[in-house]
Amino acid sequence: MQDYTILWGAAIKPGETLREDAHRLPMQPLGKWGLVAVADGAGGKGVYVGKWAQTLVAQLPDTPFEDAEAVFNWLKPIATQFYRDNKEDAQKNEHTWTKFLQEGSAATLTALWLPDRSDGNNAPEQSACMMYGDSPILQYHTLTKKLVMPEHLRELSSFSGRTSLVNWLGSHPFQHGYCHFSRFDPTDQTILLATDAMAQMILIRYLLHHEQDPTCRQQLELAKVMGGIHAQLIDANQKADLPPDFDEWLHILLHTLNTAEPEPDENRFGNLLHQYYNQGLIEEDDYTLIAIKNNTPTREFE
Amino acid sequence: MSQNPHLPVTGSNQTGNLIATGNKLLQQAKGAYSAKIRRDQPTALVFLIDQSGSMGGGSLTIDGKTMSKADAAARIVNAALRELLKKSTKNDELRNYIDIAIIGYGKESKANMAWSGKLAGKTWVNMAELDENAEKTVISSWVFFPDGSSEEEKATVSSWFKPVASGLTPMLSAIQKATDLVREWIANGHNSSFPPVVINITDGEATDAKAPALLKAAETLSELRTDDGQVLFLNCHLSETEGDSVFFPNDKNELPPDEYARLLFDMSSVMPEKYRSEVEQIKKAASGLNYKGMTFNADGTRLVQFITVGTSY
Repeated sequence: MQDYTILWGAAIKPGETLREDAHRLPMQPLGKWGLVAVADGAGGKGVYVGKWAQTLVAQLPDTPFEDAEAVFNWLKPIATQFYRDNKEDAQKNEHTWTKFLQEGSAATLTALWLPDRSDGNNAPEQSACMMYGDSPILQYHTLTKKLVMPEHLRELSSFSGRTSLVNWLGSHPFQHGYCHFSRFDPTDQTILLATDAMAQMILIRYLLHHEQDPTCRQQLELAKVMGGIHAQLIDANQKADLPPDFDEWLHILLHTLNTAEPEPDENRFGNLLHQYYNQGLIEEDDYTLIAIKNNTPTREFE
Repeated sequence: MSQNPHLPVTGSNQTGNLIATGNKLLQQAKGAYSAKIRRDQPTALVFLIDQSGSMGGGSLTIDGKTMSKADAAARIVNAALRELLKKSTKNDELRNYIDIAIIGYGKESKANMAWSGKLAGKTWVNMAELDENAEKTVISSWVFFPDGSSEEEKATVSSWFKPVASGLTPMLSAIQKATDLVREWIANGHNSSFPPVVINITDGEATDAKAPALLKAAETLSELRTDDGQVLFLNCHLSETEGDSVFFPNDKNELPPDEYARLLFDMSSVMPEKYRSEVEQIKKAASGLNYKGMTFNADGTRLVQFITVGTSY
């Protein structure tokens, strides 16, 4: 995977011991595609959500899904098997069992297939992504310094309210319309896969840096009028002793990420995120971030 | 800046409609309502259950089942407590996220704590105590999978309360008792917690006070607050008056012409902004107005579900 530098960081929710997020990095060697994925087990829905998130990312196919029906067909056997694998354990505790039966296990799922054009591979030009829920793929264009959010999570307010989740339980059905696909050229950008709390902090830092831009200002003002957690986070980030320049701050954040698995002894990413949490700059949650930088020579900006 | 589409604007048709129908402009409960509910930062839930003689009447149909008002009240409380137990289960662990108090009013001239059995005499009960003192029944439960197949399993259903209907309706006493309990709970190290929620399940026919005194008591209760927001006072009205189930009305005209329903509407807190999408999903409508924390002849567990769904644990 010589085309890309892939960095990752993961931190468990402050005060917790069990990770509910999961991520996957490309295996070596690979064929035409390198798969990167994150899943966020929903703490508020079901049990064994961390295990479910791990199951989903681990079983993603090596090549991109064609459409939502393909995702649904992929999910079916995984869902039934997950139930069978965890049924006995769930039955040991009455409440776990009740919740397992009624709510299942729920997680977001975001996958990005990167074309590997190294070593003369005949790979496609564009990367392919699939998102179900509020763990977005963010594209930070290195030449224009623009942050592009996915269509279904375009604004800060998009993160309010209930998100769509993948569940093994059929009574919380897979919704084809919640499966978002896109393809893009991965050059000249840093691609970020983030779980929701991390993504919201990145977006807030970006909006604050670009407060003079009317659309950014409008998002910030709307969040303040609505009150609640976004207003608190914006206020804390405005007052924080962090580089106001988004590029500079992102550089600091990405500098704490790891270059390879396994997790190092010192979790610099986790330490930084927990500091941010203690300062009220980020919502309490598990945090996962994968950053992908393209190594091909930067093209001239037209 | 663009106009916030969700808030009624002075001079707009929305506001005019509220005034024309005799409602006050619905002022949302103040606060962020964003505090995480944790073991070291639990929240509190108080149920006020009308157990008066008039609750023995009625023939309500809720979720397709016909029952008396007292049956409906017990059903709602039991379902709500089960929902909270489920919400407090994290993998193989039951966590004490919520302190629960239940006040009954009817059997005597003043309201009293309604816990029975081993919980009798207690004020606040945590999740573990609640679980240990439940009456448990095993039922069949079907599990459906995305591929369309299903399996039958056995599951346990817990319950705590049986229907009670006797005596008068000292609702004012119940609200005042809840106010004292909540005030003390907040002062006892819970200032940063998600604000307590008080849910009153009643047919509305108070015998110890007239409307002005009840409104004043509701206002006093709702003015209590933690750093995260004001106490939410929600009402679940069970009535013999004919009319469809109503969830979270934003106008009195959504309710049937029942004086008790309208009084409870006035007594109820306005739902905070953060629950708007949950409320609108339940109502299957998106009016952009503010909504009262009230149900009429409906499954009142919805009043609890908004806390369990829309709040972060």
